[in-house]
Amino acid sequence: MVDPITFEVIQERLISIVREMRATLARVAYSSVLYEARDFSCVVMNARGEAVAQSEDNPGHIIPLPWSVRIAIERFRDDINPGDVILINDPYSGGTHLNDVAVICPVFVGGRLLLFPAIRAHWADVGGMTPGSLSGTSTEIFQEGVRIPPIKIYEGGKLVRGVADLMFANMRVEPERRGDLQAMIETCRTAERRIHEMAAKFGIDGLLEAIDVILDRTEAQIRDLIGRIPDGTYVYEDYLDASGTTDDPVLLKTRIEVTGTDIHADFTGTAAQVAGPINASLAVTTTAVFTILKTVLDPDLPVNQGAFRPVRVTAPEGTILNARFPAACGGFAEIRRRTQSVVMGALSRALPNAIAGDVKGSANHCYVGGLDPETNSHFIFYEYPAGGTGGFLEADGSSAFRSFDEGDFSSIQPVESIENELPLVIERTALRTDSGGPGTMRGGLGLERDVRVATARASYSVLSDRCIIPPYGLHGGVAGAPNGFTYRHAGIELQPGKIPGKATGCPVVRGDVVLMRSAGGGGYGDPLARDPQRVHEDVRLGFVSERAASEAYGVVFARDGTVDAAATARQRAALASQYCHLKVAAHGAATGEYAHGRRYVQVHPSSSTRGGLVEGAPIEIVVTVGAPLRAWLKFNDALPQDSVWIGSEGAAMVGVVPGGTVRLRSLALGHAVAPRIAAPEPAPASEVVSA
Amino acid sequence: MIEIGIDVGGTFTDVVLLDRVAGRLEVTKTASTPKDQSIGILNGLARLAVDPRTIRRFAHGSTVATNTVLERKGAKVALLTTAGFRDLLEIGRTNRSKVYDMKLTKPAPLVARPLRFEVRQRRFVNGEPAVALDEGDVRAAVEACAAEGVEAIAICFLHSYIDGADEERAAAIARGVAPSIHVTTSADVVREYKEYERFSTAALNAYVMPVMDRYLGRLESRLADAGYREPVEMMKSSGGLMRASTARRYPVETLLSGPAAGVMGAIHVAERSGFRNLITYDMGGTSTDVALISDGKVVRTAETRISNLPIKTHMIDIKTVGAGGGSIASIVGGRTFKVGPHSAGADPGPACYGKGGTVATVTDANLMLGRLSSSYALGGEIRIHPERATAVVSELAQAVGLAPEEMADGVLRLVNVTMASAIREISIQRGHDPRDFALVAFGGAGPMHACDLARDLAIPQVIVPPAPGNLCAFGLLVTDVVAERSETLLARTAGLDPARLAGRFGELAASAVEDLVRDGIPREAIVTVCTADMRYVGQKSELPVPMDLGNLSTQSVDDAFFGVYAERYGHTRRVAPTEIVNLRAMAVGAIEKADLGRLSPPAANPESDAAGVLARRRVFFRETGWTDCPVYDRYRIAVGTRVPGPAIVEELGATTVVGPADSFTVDSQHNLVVDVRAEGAVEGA
Repeated sequence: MVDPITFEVIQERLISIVREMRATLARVAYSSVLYEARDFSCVVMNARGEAVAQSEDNPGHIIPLPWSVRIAIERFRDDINPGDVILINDPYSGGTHLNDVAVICPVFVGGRLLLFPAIRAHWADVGGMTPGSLSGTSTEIFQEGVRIPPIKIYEGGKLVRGVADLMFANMRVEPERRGDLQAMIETCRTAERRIHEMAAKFGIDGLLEAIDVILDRTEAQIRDLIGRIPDGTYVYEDYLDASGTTDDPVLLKTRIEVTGTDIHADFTGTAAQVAGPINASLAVTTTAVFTILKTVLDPDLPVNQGAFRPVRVTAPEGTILNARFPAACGGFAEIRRRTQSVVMGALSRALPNAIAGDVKGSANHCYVGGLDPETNSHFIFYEYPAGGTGGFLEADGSSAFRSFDEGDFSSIQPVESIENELPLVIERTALRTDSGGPGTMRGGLGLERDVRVATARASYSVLSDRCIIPPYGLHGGVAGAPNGFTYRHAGIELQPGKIPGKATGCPVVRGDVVLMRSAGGGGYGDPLARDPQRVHEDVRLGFVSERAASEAYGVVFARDGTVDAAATARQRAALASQYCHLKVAAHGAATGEYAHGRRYVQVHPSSSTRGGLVEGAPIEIVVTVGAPLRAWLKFNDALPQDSVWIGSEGAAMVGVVPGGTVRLRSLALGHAVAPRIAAPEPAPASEVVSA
Repeated sequence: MIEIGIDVGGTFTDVVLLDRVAGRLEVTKTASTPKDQSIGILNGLARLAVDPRTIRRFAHGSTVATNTVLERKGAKVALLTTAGFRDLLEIGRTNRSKVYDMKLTKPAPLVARPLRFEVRQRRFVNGEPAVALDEGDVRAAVEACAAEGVEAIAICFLHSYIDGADEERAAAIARGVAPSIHVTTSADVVREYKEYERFSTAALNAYVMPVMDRYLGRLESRLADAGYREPVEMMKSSGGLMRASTARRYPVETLLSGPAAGVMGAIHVAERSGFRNLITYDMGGTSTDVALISDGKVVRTAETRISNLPIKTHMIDIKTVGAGGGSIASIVGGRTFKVGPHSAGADPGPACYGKGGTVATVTDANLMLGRLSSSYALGGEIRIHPERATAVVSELAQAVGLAPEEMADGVLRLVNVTMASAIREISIQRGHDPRDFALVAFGGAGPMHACDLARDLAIPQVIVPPAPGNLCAFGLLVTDVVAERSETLLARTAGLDPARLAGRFGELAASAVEDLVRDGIPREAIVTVCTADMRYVGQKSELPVPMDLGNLSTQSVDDAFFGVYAERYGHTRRVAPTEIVNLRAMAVGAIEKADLGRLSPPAANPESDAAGVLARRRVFFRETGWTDCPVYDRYRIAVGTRVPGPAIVEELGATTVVGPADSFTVDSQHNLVVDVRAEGAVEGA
């Protein structure tokens, strides 16, 4: 029996092994995406395929890495021997995208298979149709590189040369790829030495016993926390802006059942997989669910299999959340983020105080590149600007701040490096006034960055989302401003592609200014309840314009700049009276909650005089507790006046019953940011999009 | 000739007196006076009964700047910056310090948005004509600052690392318009590119400037009143001293003042005993500082943050963790047993201090296990209540289901785990094998934990310097006076003209030398060291590469870089193009180093016997359980005698615990050198 102190020591030593793996790989890797951007994760697994220890990894990898390892272990179950090294990158086997390649090394002590250190690392290229392997325009997996099912790349300590040669012959920059594979194996060997040391110090049985207890203890810890969520079913849905091939919104829908200390997240009803690269595996979906649970329940919860046990996730095969071969999977990161949004939205009714307004919801990849005629070399500018974070019970969101699911990395580069290294000039970097979602607690502001092209021509690519459908506010709070990636040519602001946030190789010329605008965070609570003095301070700081203070917050200032209390009370009453409250019609009063992949709510045409509602326009159904339900408006003469039909499922999402009252609020979409232009020239082959 | 080193910490003000002529070393401690640290300093001097008129040097490690920033109690600061960029300071690089925390908020910027003024001015690096500085904008902004009661202005323009003239001109206007407002310019504080980090450093400098100015004013006048005549020297975070007049201009350089002095002290004492590969380990009441010294060389970094604000000045690379004597042991969520990072601090302190502490701390555990004397602590200023330690530890033991001594031992094991992780991070994780290093233990609690910690990490030897609780103060007296200069070059190595490169290094070095000459250092006593920050083209972070100015060619520069790169990363790519980012020159005004061997150590306790044994008491060791253990008076043990463990070695303000299988000697420098017996059956590292 191992004592409680020794448990702690063993747990810390196991996590130390993972930390040492991280530091070692960053030190010995050959490509900069590993040693600088640290796009990799490490894990120690036990022989049963359970994750024993993880460390400061990207939340996007937490579940996919052990999932792939487990599949690989099952594949070779009776045929794993000392000196073997297993390789896998298949997205459909618990992976992410083909660039994320996992290396798994079994560690034997005294002839017994004890633990598996494993690493998943982003290889800068794995073949496919474009350099870097990822492209916003791929339509099937074959275009995204070499697909590696679980295979042995080393057997009994010997490289399987034929396999390695075949694989590397199909990837770009072969020496770097070989170097990175070697670095990953060396890193696992370091972990192997530490595992031997631990086995010597604590004994094999003591170590395994402690690991079991650590997993059980973490499970008990998360079960305690889940037990505090009121039992019930929580439903919510939201949309990705567009699949990329069309501009139709893509529906994500979740039903979360909390029963005692178990959680089941069911994504039935989510959109079918799409022709573009916006598809993901169930492992990605699961990691998104787990990320929200850890964030909401206990940010310090250890990351191991014990923590995953109470969480069950289902999504029908063939949907964007559980894609089938041969769907392209390059853009899984946007799916992960929107899955997080819907899980947050569902739980916001169960844990209204624990959850903040939504965030920018995309990696916001923005590229400007081309050939610099002065140096005759290719250049690439790459930023992924952070937005504002959501308001929450205790405070306003923060401005231009990475969100809870992102690590401690910069999202914008120094102006002085950019201007020294690239033919670009940064004209402005500023906080984006009025972008924070209005609320009792305001969402943080996004940022604005104006990048002028200072060379004859370049091309501009964007892979973003939440450029059309903005991050939602909570409990009556208003959405933050959506992301926007446009450019100014001859004084006119233009979209670089057919669909906002999706552009490949839009040509730009000297003097054009690329305009990056990151989303503000969602607000929390009704903005009319915000302390007028805080609105006054926001106006003084320039975070909120005087106009928005009046229109969104109902705060009016006197000539001397102080809050005019009487005028504010009048303005707030006037704004409140314009709120469009409607009675929820009987579920049977109409049919057709969904059409064309999106939700419709129906009102009597006379309601259009209330709150300026327009047929076909997007709206939010706002409730006092929870996230607002997004839908499009349809007129129906057959409905009683002053009523809204939202269907039984819609009613469940906002927690109301027929006869109850909801509020309809029009939702401004990001289309309005700039006029669309005709399709740009086809993408040059050098455009690289990475997730 | 008397030299005084004073290190002011959060709890104690440590004083060391060195008299080289008389061969005298005296140490004392007194309570710090946080409201005005200069009062504590004068109290400390009074305890030493020294005539200030006889003091020749006064070297000072201070937490004034650190506390001002940590507690956000600095000046009202304004920013003047290039039009279009006033929000840079607030936006930063958008980093977050903690993942999975939805309610984490970004620290507020040091300068509020309405006090961030934009002035028309712009410089380009692509050949476009510059936009001239609009002096009217500057005047208007400074007048607004004066009206708002601003105390300090940071002037921060884009690309000022190339040419600081616009910043200097704006500063001159500001001084003319509002002479009472402190002014700092970004290129004066750090002449390197990457604007946010440079602006942040300048804003921090401005934020601390008025506070440091007032503090030094009080200190100097108190010292002058007492008859002290020489200028005060202050410790810089980079491990060199500067004059108080310089510290007034660059207070941001004192943010790691005390910890840097500890590292310099540790290097000095260990080197005298023949050790050049060190891990310095300073464990105090609330935190532990560790640093790695390879071949006697300090590793510095220009990428530090304080309260999540970046600082670009050069600092010793010191890792700090929340583990100290006051660290609190607790059970989290009914299951997980934790020690730290919360600390009982100095007030109420550990339960055994009897000042109202009711939770078990590391010090309580040490006391309960007999490792710490129950008769006196911390120089006798605090009376110890062992029964209170026993009570709180026993309570915890009951909750976990352990025997009280197992619980106390568990507290020590867990605090050691935290400290071991920090040491792994700076050693193993950077490619160094701890078995090649000695652990230099100091701070009030360091020597008590050092042998167990060394055993965990397979470090073979522990060095405990005399008066380990005062090593930071002592370090001040063995530190050179240093001036540093840097500038951004940003050029590919292959295209460099070696003669011009040597010329630029020469100018930088000369300018650093002039600083020291102005401070009264004789020119012939000054040496200069030049380094280049280099990287492969396309990388974002650089490595410092020592430059041999006598043999400068593109090949030699590249070869030097490849060597440093391979040492750090294990491999190198000879074909890839490299670039030089920054040039650095350091002028060192070497002072004569004190030879500990020629000093008489602090006085021995007259109650000890000839072998140095003061007493025997029961001490709990993990390996042997409760053990009858001799307690030695450190300064009675004869030099060169090998003493077997177990042993408790006591001196004023510190206790060294030597394990049952370890042994130690006192060497000619009065250092305790412990040979630590490794745990059995540990293979490979």
